[in-house]
This record gives sequence, C-alpha cells and structure tokens, in this order.
Amino acid sequence: MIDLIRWALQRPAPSGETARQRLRLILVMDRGGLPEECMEALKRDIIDAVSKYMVVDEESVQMDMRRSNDSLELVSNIQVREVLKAPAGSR
Amino acid sequence: MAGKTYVITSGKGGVGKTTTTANLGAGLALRGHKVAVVDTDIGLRNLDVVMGLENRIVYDLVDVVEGRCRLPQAMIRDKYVKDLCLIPAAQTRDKSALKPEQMKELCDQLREEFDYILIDCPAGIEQGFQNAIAAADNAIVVTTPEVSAIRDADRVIGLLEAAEIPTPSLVINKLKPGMIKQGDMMAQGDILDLLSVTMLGLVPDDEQIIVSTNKGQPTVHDPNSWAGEAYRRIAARMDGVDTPYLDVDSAPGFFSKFKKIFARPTKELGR
Repeated sequence: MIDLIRWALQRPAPSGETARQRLRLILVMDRGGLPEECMEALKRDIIDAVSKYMVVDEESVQMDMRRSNDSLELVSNIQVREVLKAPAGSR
Repeated sequence: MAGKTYVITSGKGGVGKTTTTANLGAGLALRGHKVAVVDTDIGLRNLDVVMGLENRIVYDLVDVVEGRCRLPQAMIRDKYVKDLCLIPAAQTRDKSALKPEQMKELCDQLREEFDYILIDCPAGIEQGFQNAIAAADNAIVVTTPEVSAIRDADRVIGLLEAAEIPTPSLVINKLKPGMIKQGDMMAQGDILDLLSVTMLGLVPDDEQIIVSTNKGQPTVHDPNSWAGEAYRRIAARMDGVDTPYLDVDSAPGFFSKFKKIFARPTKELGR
C-alpha cells in the first residue's frame, strides 16, 4: 500500500540536471578534450609513475579521452615488458 | 567619432538573434545613440520584417558593396525612433555575394557616423558567419536554455576567440521561470558556468515577442512587455549603466496562471 502511494506520488526526475550533466561532457569533447601539451605531460607522468613498478614500452603508450554513457573516460594502453620485484629507486 | 561594432550571433537558428538585434538597436537608439543595424543573413533576410521596414527597401547590403548605390541610399530610417537605421540584406542572392573584406570596409564607413553598429549574423558557422564577424570588435552570443543551443553557443564562442574577438557576452533568451523552479530547465547560473563568457542579460520567454513581430514593432517599445524590459536593461548595460538583471524568477507567469485558472471555466461555458 505504502509502495503504491509512493509510486503514485513519484514524479519523474527533473530533467534540467540531466541536461547540465550531459552538456558538461559534450562541451569537453567538443572543445577537443585535454590540450595537446597537457596530454603529453600527463602521459609523461603516468609513464614515470608506472616505471617505478614495471618496465614499460614507452613507444607503445597510448592515451585517449572518450565518452561512455554518462561519464568521461581516460583510457590508457601501456605495454609491460617486465615486472619489478621491488619499487625502482627503493633500497 | 568611432562607433562600436557588435556581432549578434548564436550558431543555432531560432534562438532570437534577429529579435535581439532589433530590440537592442531600438533600445540603444531610445537612449539617444546613433545606431545602425546590419542584416547579414543574405538570402534569408528578416531583420526588416521584425522592425516593420520591409516596404521601404530599395537598395540592400549587396548593392552597396557591389557599387550599385551609395551607402546612405541603402540606409532605411526606423519608423519608431530617430537615429536608428537598417541596412537590409539582399534577398535574391546568397552568402557568397559578400566577402569579409567588404564587410570591414562597410563598417569602417558606418563607424564614422554611428555610435553603435549591430550586425545580425546568420545561423551556422560558414561563410555568412565569417562575413558577419569580420568587422566586429565585440560579440553578443544569444542562446536559450536548451542543450542544442548551448552546445552551438560554445562552438561559436570558440570560433570568436580564434578570430580574436575578446570575451563575448551572453544573452540567455526564452527563459521559463516556472520550468526552472520545477528543475526542468537549466538556470542562468548553470549556463554561465558551462560557457566561458560574461553575462549581458536574461530575457524571459514572452508571448509578447510574437505579437510585436506580427506588428513589426520591436517589443522594447512596449512598456508592459516583460521581454521589452529585459532588452531595455541590456541596452542600458551596453551603455555602461550598471543595471540589475531582470528578476526572471518573479515572472508574470505566476499571475497569468491564476488568470488562466479563472478564464478556463468561462471558456468552457461559452461553448
């Protein structure tokens, strides 16, 4: 019964917020995502961070921004050559 | 004297560029400035009808740039306010009939005589857009609280920046306070957050706009029009007068709803 009342009172979620969220992602993609130089710097930082734990093929590193459903994703593909037994640089 | 040139643009069609151009042109002229409005929508001219000047056109913009007449011959004096002139677009040509260089020359001439030159831009981002922005020192981007219009506005803002027209200012048109309250329309703050521009004004959705377009008299002349008041305030702001934004939250929609409630039974009885 309570469920029925709740169902009857339920109003569809306001669409203004949906519009705002969708636009936020649309505009990021339309504006071409992250500027080229930021993407390069980020790529460098990620390679450096991962390299503490494994040897990676730097030439193979790919990074991409893409939209999936309701979020924006940063997708990175890194080929690993070797896994280190201890973090590089630690003693 | 060096007049200021503004391009009024939006990317998307139907958001109110022409209505905004006509009302701000009249609004600035009512404030005592000399204003020229230029329709650059060649092939789809409409600024003349919104201003009620369609029967007075002899020469147009393309006639001027192609040397068939002198600039003053193509200027049409407004019916309602002095010191407002329209330069209509050509209706039987297309966008390729005008080049950005020619727009620059034309506006340089207009700058000598007028305080404000408002350039009504066609929809889209192709040749017509490039013509319209070529001579502009400033840009007014018109949008509505809809996903498609805001997306297009963002594209246009990017293109204006690339063309080195500094910080465009934004007019949000067709705001519906009732829908904003219900959460079914993006509020002005949300839109401003999404777009990197400065706010110039808020215009509520007002049926009076349709009435004034029917008559060919910009709504800025109507003291009772809500949208007219919004445009009067925008004109004041362009004129450097610090004017509060129209409070679209206290829209007359509140009272008109009551009116509708009382009007409904009468109508039904009348059948």
